[in-house]
Amino acid sequence: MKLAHTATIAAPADRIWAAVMDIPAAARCVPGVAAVTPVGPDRFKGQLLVQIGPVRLVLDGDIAVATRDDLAKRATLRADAKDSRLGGTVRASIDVSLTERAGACELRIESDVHIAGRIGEFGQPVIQRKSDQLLAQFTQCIARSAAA
Amino acid sequence: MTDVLVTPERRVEGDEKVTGAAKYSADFRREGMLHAAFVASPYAHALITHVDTTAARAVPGVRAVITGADVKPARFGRRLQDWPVLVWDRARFVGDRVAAVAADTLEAAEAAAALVDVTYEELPAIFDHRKALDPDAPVLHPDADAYPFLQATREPRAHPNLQGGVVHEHGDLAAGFAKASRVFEHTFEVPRVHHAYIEPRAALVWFEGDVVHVVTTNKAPFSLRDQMAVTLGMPPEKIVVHTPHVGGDFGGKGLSLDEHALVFLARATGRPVRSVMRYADELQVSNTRHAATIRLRTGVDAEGRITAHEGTVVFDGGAYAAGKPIVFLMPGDGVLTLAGYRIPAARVDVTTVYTNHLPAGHDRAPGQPQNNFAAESHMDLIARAMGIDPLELRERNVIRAGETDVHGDVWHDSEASRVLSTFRGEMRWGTALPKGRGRGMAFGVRHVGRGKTSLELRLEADGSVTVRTGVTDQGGGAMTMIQRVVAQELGLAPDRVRVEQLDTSAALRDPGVGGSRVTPVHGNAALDGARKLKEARAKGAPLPIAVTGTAEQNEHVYGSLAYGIEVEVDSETGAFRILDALLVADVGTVINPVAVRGQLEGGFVFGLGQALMEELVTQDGRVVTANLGDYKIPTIADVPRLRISLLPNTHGPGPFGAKSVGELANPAVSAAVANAIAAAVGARLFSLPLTADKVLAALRDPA
Repeated sequence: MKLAHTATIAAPADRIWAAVMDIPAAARCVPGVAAVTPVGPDRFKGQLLVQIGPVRLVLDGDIAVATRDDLAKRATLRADAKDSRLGGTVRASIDVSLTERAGACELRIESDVHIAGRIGEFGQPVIQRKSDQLLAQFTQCIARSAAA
Repeated sequence: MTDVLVTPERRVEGDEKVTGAAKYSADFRREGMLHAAFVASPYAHALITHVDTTAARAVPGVRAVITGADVKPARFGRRLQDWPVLVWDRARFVGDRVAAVAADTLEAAEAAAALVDVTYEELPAIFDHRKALDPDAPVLHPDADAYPFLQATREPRAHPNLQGGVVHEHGDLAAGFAKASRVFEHTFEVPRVHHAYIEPRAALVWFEGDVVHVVTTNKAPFSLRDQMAVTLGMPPEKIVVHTPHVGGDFGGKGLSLDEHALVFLARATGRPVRSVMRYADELQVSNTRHAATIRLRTGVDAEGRITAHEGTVVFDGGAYAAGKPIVFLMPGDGVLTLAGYRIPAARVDVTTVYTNHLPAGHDRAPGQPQNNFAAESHMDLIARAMGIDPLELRERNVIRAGETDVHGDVWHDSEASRVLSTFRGEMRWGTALPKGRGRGMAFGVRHVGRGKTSLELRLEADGSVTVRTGVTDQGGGAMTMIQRVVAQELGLAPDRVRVEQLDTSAALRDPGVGGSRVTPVHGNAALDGARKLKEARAKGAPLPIAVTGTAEQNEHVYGSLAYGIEVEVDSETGAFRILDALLVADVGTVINPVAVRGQLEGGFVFGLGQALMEELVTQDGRVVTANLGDYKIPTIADVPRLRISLLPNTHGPGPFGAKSVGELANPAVSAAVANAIAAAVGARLFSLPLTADKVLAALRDPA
């Protein structure tokens, strides 16, 4: 499943980029994320709690920064998570990029998400809606922290 | 003597079903019964390097956790046994079973299944069936030569990813094409669809001594018994298969899946074990209709008469061929790429290939919905290009008695012309329609079922009759049909004939439901038994009299039909609405009038689902339409009224001249709708389902 989100943020590019790439801090911008801790260079462990309708998922997983270019302001993250209660895995490749245009910045997040096991049995529209919701809240939060 | 057949039937199991008293497989319980859950592969193609069941075994209430290592080398299947009971070395589709748990409660079983820790090493996978036979394609079954192949020898294969197929040739193809004034070629795509029966697969398995009992949703109990005997290495008489009411089958339940693992769990625990498949698993694991790519090339003379035909079909067989019963390991009628027409010369090349999709098997008229959509769209395209009315083109080409069809078979009898002439009148074909509306048609045929069976009949002291049979009833009305045939022959009221269904340890051998078989084969066996009773009574034999009714039906006979569809298309949006639907069909003598109507209407709705909305969408091998919200099937709001016109005075090889009807009506719906859309606004669709966005795209880009 491919998801694309863009947000226009009125803040200096360097500050936005720093906010996005501070993974533990940025992760706190995703509602439902519990403590993200570094486990190595560019590797993190974390937990995401998501409520989809009546179902509560607890996704335990790893995030790794696969590629990172602070000058071009582009990065690729890989996330691997597992919900052991319901049974299912989520693997995502997330391309983040930031471009300056006309005094503001456009943050673009393109994700290729593979959901396997029971989590994948939720309707695609439901997953899409939930992901849209989370990412929208994430970009708003990043915008706030970069502007602060 | 009363004519039983003129009175609409009362289903023998009807009261039980409508009151909820009828028991289906999932309703059975046994003392001490355990519940099973399965661990499924999240990868489409992966080696299994390690399975750790320690945490799963520690869950309270868990009685057994088994893995591939515990079942190796047990594989199951209807003909080729290529599907491992649990995979031990590699998973070949998302959902392939890796381990199984039996526990006191379903909750404990599922909790334990989630704790089985499997380490995979992902392998390259095949998701495009057109590339499965590429020289560098990943091989799914390196050990295929060692797989059991039931009651026949498997032909050597040119590529390890070839499941099966056939090349048929007859006549002088080159001369046929040389004689043609024009040659047309078109390619069509048909997606994977599911049967969407209401009742999920369910099974209960237990041992009594060294005899294993299996309560199952399988519609062909003797076939399952014999397949299990090979899979489990047990003598068939040590396996007893019980099939209670089946809540819909449509071909899918000819293959049993979890029953095999349940045997291992029951053996490991010494307890009865039960499983009921979740519907999400139904859509991700079970035996679907094959997706297909169909290329048709046909030569016609100046009047549109077919001179030669070439069909090339590639079916996506998925990860296992286990669901296909015929020796060619393809959907049963996959070779009929231009069915019901006179074809002087033909070459049809059908291949079924392995991919890392969920396994495909049999589904109501296997192979025919795919081929009919292609063939009848192709005929319409030819008609329009030649400037010949589509009905006229079909009238010039439909097969008549003594002529040869696409498979090289000579038809001894054909009602095809009569179907079309009736259709012309009923459809008011050729009358003017307002702008945006169009009429389309599709012609179709389906063979009358073949096979043999025996039933026991007993004329009791009170003059009533008891029939004992091993056949199941998947909803088609088999028991009622048997009752009415016997009642008609003996001049009894139907309720004086009791039909009892027995398990495989008690019944005479039976081929089960499938291939449009039950009315012509079981009906004739019932008729044979009734005649024997009559004869014995005439000779003055004392009551009760017990006889065996036997029948074998091997004639190649077809029923034919035509659909007419009128649509209104909104050319701004591509959305369309069906305004009129007509079915003209040759069904032979009607035994169960209510069931015949039900089968025709049900077949229409089934076909309409495939025409308009059904598609098991996959992404990287994973089914994303894994629930009945995303996998759309028609509701009554989607179904237009269907006018049905049955051809009078036709005669089939079944009892009193009956033919088959169960698989007649679904294949030809798609093409009739596609042809109507093309007639209305000129948008020609080459793939199913026929959706508004495809219509709109075709309108914008008429190429």
